[in-house]
Amino acid sequence: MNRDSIIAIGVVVLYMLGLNAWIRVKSKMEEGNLEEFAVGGRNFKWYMVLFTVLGTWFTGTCFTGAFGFATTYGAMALYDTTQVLAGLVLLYVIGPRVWAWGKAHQLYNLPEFVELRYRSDKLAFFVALFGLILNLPWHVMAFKTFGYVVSALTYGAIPFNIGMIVAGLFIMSYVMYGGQKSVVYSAFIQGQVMIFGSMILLAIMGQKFFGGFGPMLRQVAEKTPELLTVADSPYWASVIIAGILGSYCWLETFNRMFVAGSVREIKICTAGAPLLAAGMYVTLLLVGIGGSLIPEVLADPESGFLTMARMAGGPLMVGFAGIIVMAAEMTSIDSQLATNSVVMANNIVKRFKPDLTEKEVVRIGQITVVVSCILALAIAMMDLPMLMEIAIFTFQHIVHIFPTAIIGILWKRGTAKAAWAGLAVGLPITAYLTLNEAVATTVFGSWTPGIIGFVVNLFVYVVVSLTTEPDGYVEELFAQIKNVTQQA
Amino acid sequence: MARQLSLAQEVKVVKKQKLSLVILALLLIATLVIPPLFDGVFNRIEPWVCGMPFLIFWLVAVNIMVAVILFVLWLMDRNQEA
Repeated sequence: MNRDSIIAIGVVVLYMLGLNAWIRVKSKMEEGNLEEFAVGGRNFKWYMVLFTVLGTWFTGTCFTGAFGFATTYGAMALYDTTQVLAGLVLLYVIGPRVWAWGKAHQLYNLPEFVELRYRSDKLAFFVALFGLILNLPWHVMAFKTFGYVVSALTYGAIPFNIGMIVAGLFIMSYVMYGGQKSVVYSAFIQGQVMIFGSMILLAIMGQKFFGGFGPMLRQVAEKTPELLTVADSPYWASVIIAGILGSYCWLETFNRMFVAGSVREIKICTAGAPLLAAGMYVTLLLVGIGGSLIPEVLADPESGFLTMARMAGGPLMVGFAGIIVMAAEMTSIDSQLATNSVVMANNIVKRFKPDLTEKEVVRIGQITVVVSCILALAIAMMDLPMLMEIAIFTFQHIVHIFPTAIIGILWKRGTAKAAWAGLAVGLPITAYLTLNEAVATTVFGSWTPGIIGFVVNLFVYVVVSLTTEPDGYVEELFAQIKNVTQQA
Repeated sequence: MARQLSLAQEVKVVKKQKLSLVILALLLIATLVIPPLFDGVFNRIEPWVCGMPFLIFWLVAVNIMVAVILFVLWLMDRNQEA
């Protein structure tokens, strides 16, 4: 390993050691306390929730895959900023309701909300299993990102698999230690590192390589003007809509609403998040587009962020860029692991062993964290050329939870029968069209299978809801919102 | 009684204003996801505004406007609570 690699990896190691100390001090958990393990005690202030939401939202892939996508396809990559923004508008609308029901009924996650809303444990079980399965490819991709970053920082001196294992053990240890409480304290630091750190780094890069963002865009317009518009607008619209619909259907993003101390904290968080989210992400993707002007970035677009950091400021800056990518990825996978562990313990295992104590549920949750990490690491070590396709497949399917979960939050009339019917009709359509791409393209053009299946799912959900007997209990549930939010 | 009525009316007006703001935010986002509107008006390089090609400028503008709307919504909620 040469001197530059030692400096770069040294910066990352120091950061991880400091972070570990912070998490251990702040997130000591009362042994066997499920409320703390699952939702961090439900008492976090807005600034903690803010960076947890942002940390969960932006993965390390934003700095590798999305950056490279912007270099290759230009403005098309900016679809992601719109979906993040719309997701935050959705948070403003649904957040207070979800939090109120969570507080009143001690909910920890999305499946528990589904069970409360529809009084159907089978529907909740399905949502739990569906969410867990769709999350696995993202665990694998997260570990691959860690391996990739460590290997890139050391010019391959530390092998890919070793990088994955070290990062995996680190995350596993703190998630087991404090569950969601550790995740929130980790995200508070790592979210700031990711947002403010990357904005500083991107500003330096923009200035150093192009003399500012304006001149950069002028140069792109002269050399590759096609990168400044979107070539396929139905596809662009499709991925934005799928992103918006799917945003709160992932188990971990839904869970973020439960960690807040009150409705007020969620609302302040929503007021501040868009500026930070859009500011960071638009800047990142614009620099990605600018990367198309640099031959070294063009040769390997997915490494573009690290390459530009190395060219701009040597080993120290590339070490800093490595920390940013790792922070983005850690804050996503740790919340996935913590949420999934509680879903597995409290919503799946406890369903078959209802007499489990709170302490035993926490213990099973901790074991789930270990098993999930080992499984994801083992898969990540395999040669998986189809992994990105599998990840896209999961994204196409997660939108089907939207009518059941999100429409169910906003519309009293939705029923359990309607939720089942929508899923039963919509999901197979999406699966069929995803597996038969030629048919999908011929019939629906650039509209993606997820959107086509979703439209059918939503239509069936609405029609069946209107034709089935409404549940009087749902009226009472909606009436609770006002009381709980006022008390809080 | 009259005071209670006016308070109820005020709450109703604020609720309507808040709903209008949410709809405005969604309409701004809709300019980016309705293909004929997007292609016809926004998906272009010219004219350059604030040193940015038009599409990039519009994306940045929508982001800022939606962020401002959410901030105003929060201010209204805070005032209402007070």
